[in-house]
Amino acid sequence: MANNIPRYPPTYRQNEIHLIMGAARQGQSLCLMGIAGIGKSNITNFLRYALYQDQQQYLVHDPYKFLFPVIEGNAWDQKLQGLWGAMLAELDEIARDLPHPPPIDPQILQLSEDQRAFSLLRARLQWLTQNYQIMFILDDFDKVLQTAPLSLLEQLSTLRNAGNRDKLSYLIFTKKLPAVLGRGHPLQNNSKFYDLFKDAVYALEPYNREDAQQMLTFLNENAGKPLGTQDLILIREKLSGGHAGLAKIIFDSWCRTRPDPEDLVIFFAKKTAVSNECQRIYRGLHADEQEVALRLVRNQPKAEDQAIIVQLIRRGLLLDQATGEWFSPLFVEFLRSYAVEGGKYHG
Amino acid sequence: MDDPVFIFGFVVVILLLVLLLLRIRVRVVPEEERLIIYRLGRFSRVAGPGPVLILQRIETVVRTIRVRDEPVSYVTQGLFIYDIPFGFTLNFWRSFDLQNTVNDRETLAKLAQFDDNEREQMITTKIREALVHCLTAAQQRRPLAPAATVIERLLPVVPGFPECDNILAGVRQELAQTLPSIGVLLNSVHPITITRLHLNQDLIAGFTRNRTAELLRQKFPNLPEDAMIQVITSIEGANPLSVSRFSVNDSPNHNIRPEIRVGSGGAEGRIRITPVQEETKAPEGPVQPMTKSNTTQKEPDERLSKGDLSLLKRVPRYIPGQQRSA
Repeated sequence: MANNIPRYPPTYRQNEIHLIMGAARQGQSLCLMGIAGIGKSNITNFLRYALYQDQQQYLVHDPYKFLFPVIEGNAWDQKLQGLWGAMLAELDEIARDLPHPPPIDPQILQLSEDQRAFSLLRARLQWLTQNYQIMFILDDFDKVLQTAPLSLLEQLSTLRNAGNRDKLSYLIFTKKLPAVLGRGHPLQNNSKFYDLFKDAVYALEPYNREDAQQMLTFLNENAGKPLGTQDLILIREKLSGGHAGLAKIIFDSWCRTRPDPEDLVIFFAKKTAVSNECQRIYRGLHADEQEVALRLVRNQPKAEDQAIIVQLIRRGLLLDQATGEWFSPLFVEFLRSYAVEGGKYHG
Repeated sequence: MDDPVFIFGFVVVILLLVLLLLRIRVRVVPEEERLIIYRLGRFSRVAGPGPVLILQRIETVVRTIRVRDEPVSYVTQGLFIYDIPFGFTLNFWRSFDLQNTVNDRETLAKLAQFDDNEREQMITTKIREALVHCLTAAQQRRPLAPAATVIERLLPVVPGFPECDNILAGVRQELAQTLPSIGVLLNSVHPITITRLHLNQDLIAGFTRNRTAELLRQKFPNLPEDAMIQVITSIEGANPLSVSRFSVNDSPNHNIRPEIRVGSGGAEGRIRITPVQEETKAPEGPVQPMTKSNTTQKEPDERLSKGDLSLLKRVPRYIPGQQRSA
């Protein structure tokens, strides 16, 4: 049976999407920082594939035309031409139906492969930005910011020039703060690329109620409605806390084995897939955040933890400091097990 | 009328009149110069050295040629050897000698129309022709292996290599034949030498990169290739005043890691490579059982500073109907 439920609701991530669209419209770059499984890829897929299909509301009366090519930072092979080649291939893919630019003058001889790839990319961008606002989505860019040579990052900023400055921008997804990831360079003092988004680093919080509900309803519809409405609400409200990765894992697990309704949290906390996901979330946190999180679940916060507690709240992970409420009780259970067992967790 | 004195006086007067009429002038031409003289607008002769009579009413010195035998350097860019672009600066002795290189007056009249600068341009063209011929012949003599490196491609034009000497010999032979046609004599005593091999900056950067990689491989034989690329590109693209450290894991047990620092100039500003004990760090990769030791310890420069904690913002709430910018 065909699924009549759209994957994304009309108001899907509307705060984030409007922020991104506003930036893309003006050629401004920004960074969204979110924990593992928070739904970064869903935003990418939405911008890349769904924006022009279902979500006309974002584009109504918009004089601009947008392209959102996606580059996977984890797939970067640590070679310059690898990144330029990937960007070029993605542009070709996304703009395959658009008119092609004139070929580069063959008299201009580029000796190195990366130089050739970079020249081709720049020419292609010059061509496309005549008619389109292009926002490169640099997904999972932690590794690149951390290990790529500064020269590579700077070349990303040189792709923007006087002709396309207000038309080409970047949306960077990371798990950690870019300034911390790029401290070895250091990005903060040396990088024009970092300057592009240094004042626009935003926390990507878990889904709100509507987005989480839509996602679960979509999954349920696809699976032939094995779960009732109340079950979905329980997943949304009592277990996943709007975390896309946890919601999907819990849904799949629930479909396989119906849990004891009286002991939902303990039931799912013991699931290997859930604990692995919590572990991914935990490891995606900064070490300082990890320490403070553990002290919070032990009820032993220090006075100097306050700034990091504020950061955890800003990230949408800690909901209420006074009550110790986190986005998901499963994550609290994970932290508690880890803290109680004296530093060893057997998921 | 038969008085010899009268006759002599008459002749002198006539001569004076002729001299006055033609405005004859004597010009002393030094040994290293020649004069190109036109009479009534047509080439007359190449004159000099020594005293030269010029009938100023009908003759004009249109230009002076320097005929000194002297060494000159000529730059020839845009050459190719096995598809690699390069250039040469060649140095050899030559002289402009119209009288001894050309036999017929018609050719001499043609060559006399050019000044020294124009003749230099002709020499540059002749050198390019000779180089192109000889490089083509050299490439035909020595077919390239399919997987030849850039260095192997360039070897025939590197001074000192036998193939390069062959190319120069060919160039000399061709120039000896062609330069006289433009009024230039190639000195056969002095050799033609390559004073400079011009290579593209990318090629030079590539050689430097390989040399750096070789040095690093000697120091750290276990350094993975991808880490090597990172280090080299960091060094190339980094501002030595600001890039402070690049570290990579160098052993399967992560016990030792090389630390590469780029200093801030002067004698201490060179790249230093120092093996140091690795600090424990949370591992990346597949999910594993965790212990405190691999999750809570961190490098000092990875601590969150007050400045770091002020960077992150919440996404602004969208109010319907509001056009928001970043």
